[in-house]
Amino acid sequence: MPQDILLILVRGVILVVVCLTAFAYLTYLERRVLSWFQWRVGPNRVGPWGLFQPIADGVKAILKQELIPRRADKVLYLIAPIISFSAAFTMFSLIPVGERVFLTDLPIAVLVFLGLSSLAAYGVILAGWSSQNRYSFMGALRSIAQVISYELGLGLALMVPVMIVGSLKITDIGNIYRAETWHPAYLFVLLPAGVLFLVSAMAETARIPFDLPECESELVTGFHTEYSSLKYAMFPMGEYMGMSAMCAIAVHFFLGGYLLPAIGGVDLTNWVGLIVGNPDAVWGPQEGYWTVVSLSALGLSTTLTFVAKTLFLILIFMWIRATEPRFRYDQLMQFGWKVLLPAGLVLVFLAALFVVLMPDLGGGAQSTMEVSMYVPR
Amino acid sequence: MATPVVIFFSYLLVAGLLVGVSSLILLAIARFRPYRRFLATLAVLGFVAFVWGMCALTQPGYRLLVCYFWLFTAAVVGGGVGCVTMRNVFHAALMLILSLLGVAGYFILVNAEFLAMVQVIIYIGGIMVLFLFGIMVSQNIIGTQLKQNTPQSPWAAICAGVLFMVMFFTGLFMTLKPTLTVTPDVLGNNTGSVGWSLMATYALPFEVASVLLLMAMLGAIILVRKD
Repeated sequence: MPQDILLILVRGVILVVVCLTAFAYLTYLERRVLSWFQWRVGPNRVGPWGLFQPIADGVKAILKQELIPRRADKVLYLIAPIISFSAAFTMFSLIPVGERVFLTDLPIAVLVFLGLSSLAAYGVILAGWSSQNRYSFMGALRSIAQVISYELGLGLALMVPVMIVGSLKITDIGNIYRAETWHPAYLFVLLPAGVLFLVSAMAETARIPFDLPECESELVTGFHTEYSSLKYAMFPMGEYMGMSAMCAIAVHFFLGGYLLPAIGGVDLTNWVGLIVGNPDAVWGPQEGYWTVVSLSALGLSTTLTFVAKTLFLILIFMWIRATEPRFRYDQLMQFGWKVLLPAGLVLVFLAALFVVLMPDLGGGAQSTMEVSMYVPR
Repeated sequence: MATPVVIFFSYLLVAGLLVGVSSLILLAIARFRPYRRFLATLAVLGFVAFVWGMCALTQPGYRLLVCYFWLFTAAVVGGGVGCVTMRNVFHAALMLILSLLGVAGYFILVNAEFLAMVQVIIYIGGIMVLFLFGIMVSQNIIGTQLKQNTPQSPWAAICAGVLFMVMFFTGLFMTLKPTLTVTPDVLGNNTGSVGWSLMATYALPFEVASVLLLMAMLGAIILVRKD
């Protein structure tokens, strides 16, 4: 038991460190990518190609003077960034990053994910309310309306693979992309569901076409107008982590997770193993322990595949940010309620039809079969 | 059995409970509002002493569970007391959220993770957000002053006390028999079990409830519609 707790703690620390570094370099990446899109140079002064820019930014954020408005509701003002930050990080702990490389693999991970994404909204709400500032307040109001409307699309899009697989476990859902369980017919429902999920995720994390809670041209910076120093930095941290978590979930649900297709009869999933030779011969048998597995060829290759796919989705988010103008508020609401919600309902209906018409296809149908044995008396 | 250690922890437990409960009761009374910081500290200290005693007296395997149980209890009770005593309605709503979170924690402790997460998603992520929205709009945009004053609090206290007594003595004198046999299979996949019982065994009540909710929704829309 104590060793297990220690192992979990070590994994948690690794996760936090990796996530914080990833956050720092995501901001750098976003600024560089945006500047390339917009024909600018971007940050290139600190270190080679500006690579030390995030460190400089971090130091600056920590050393800045911290201002708390006199009329602010102190406790809530302090709690708000913590909520949005920790909700986003907890979201990350749910996601397996490679074959048997994970912190947790909960049987209800999808629900926990949805719950955390709705809890993250509280950070924004509390920040906007407790600052006692009109702009912050308007940002909070907008964020509430937006989160409530787009959570429906998000949940419905996630329900499609969940219904097909019959499980709420992320690894189970990733497993339908294995050769044994995959069927091309899945694409008919999974592809539109993936698009729906990405659009809703963009709105849920308030990325640019949907960034009305903090749009600069109308609300200064929206809900975090009154925040300064590290507390200000915690909001973008939460936002970026939330975005990456959404992308990671999308990779698991709609992009085949950490698996790679087989080309010419060779399964590319274990590509590191293919390069270095037979992994079992090189690294020893890969049974059991997390440390061994994560160092093994399979763990390494699946993790790298997963990170690459997630980065690809994040780059798409950045691309959209660079090209799309912001929605008007009524357009946002119309789009959420009159386009995304009906589309999600139709997709769920199609997925149900799919499950009923082709019951032997469902990747994890065995889990529903197990339950059907249960008869209450 | 009654070693000095056990006696000490028993006293600690009882004293902590007494101090905690009495300071919570005093917190709920308007006259003691000036001392609310002191009383809240006292309540927390009493609670910590109580949990410490409780943990020391339980079997080693169950200590973590007991700790969690009392943590969630603190959230539920503290949130409930805060919800009815806070002057600021926004704070009261936040306290209600704390209380609901504690209930979600209870659900997890009894292996009902699905219910726990539904509690979080629907109550905290949906309904309470709408509560806050309503409070914010009426307070900061329309300009209504919302202060919680509860003139009915004595009656509410009596009702709550009677209900508590009923539940307490029911729990004390009756062993409630579970009507469903819980098999390990159900425990392992309780989301699936909930789905099956809703969609197969109790399909009709479930559908009736959904029609009722639909009617309520339509009714609300018709009530606020401006022709």
